[in-house]
Amino acid sequence: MQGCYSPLVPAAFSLLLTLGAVSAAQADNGISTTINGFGTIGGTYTGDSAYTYVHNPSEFKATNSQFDLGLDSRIGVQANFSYGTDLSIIVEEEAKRRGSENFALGTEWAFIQYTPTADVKLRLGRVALATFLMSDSRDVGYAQPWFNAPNEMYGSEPFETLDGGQALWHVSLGQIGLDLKGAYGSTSQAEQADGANAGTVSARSAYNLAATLTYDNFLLRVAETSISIPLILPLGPTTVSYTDHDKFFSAGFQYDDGKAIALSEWAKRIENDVPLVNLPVDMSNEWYVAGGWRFGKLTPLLMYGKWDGGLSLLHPLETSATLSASLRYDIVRNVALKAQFSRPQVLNTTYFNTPNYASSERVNVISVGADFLF
Amino acid sequence: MNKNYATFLLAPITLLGVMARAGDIVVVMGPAAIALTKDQVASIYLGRNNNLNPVDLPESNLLREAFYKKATDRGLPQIKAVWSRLTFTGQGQPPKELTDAAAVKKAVAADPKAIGYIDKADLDASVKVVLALN
Repeated sequence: MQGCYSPLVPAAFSLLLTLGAVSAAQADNGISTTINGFGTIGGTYTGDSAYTYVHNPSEFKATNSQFDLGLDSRIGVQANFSYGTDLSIIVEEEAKRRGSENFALGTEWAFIQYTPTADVKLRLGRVALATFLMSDSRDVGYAQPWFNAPNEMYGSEPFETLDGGQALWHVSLGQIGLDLKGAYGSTSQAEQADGANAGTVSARSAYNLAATLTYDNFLLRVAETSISIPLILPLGPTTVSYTDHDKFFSAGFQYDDGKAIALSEWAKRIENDVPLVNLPVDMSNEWYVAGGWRFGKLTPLLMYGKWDGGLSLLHPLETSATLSASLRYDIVRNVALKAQFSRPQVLNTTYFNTPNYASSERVNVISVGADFLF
Repeated sequence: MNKNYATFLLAPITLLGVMARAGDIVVVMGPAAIALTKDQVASIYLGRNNNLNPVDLPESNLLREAFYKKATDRGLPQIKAVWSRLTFTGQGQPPKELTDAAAVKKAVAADPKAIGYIDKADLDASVKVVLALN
């Protein structure tokens, strides 16, 4: 993933050290510092070593029937340096499996934020690419009801960050809240092919637009994300150069009254056809519904995800559905134990990077771990 | 009366007194504030409304858990989960934690946008009750 290869990493660390020192020295001169951390220790294994599980198809090192702590474990720290009420710098560093390295540090966020009014935020730097409802907080396991988000939805978008600008506007209309977000920039992502590094895919132009409506315990979100990637694809004895426009249209719903929790998202992925082939690199429709109930410290949750892969260069015309169950136990302050069980079909490319399109067999995928805050 | 026996007899009465006190929570703001509904207070303490600046009591204070249960119908782990999502998506920081009721009263009396909660027994004229949670 881009963070570990980016010059932003050492820059961000220098920034953290410098600003930390400055803020410590000038705590009484208007600079305030807030540090927050999150992490997960856990792992996943599959019921059949032939099928290796990933969060998304770009991940290099999948996990098989050997319990693997490297795929899901991570630790992140966010530092917020505020100068007065309208200027702040926010940096988030996270160590997790990146490419072939188990715990590589990367810069998830590094932006300067100007807040001209309490309802408007303008950001410049590296920001989160929030394609789906939970995309920007997916790694903060403690904030999530599940251990792993439904792969049908979240496995389809490997890009996580944007280097550019972002504007956020919050409107309060009585009990109704409306949040509008827009981001534009570039992004990149290390890709795998047969488990090996296949280079970095870079998009010079990408945008994300999202509108979120909240009322009482209800939340509704619609979003559009577009990533334009210049590609050179081998085509028989020759190559074809073109720009791939990878677009997601998505809608999400959430209800949470403190006892009951319900979530659902739908997304449509559209890519333009590769010249001469008249097929896109990838296309799909995906959705999930999830519902749970809190019994004191225990929160069981059932999820049902559906992925309809259209005919494309990456996969044949396929459809697959998966039922999953997860359990959260808030054992002590700031720590939640979780377990998750899924039975996806082996042809499902959102779960396995070694899919078998000729089989509809199902394989167990089991995850256990602990999410924490510090 | 034997002292231990007296303690045994008085214990339930003392416990009832503590329970009654824990039920009397008042949400307070500066003297010029107007009354709020429970939904409005919940909205502020769940990070959905950033027009006011909420302040909190320490996690070690039992009043904090009772307040969130009454005002938002949520336990402290859920509140932590809500604010961790807001914090790590850059949408806000959790309410500032103050040491005790005196610090809460001082903060809300000094800032017309500050809002806090205290035990009704700690109420005085420096702050105004905008919602009583019984």
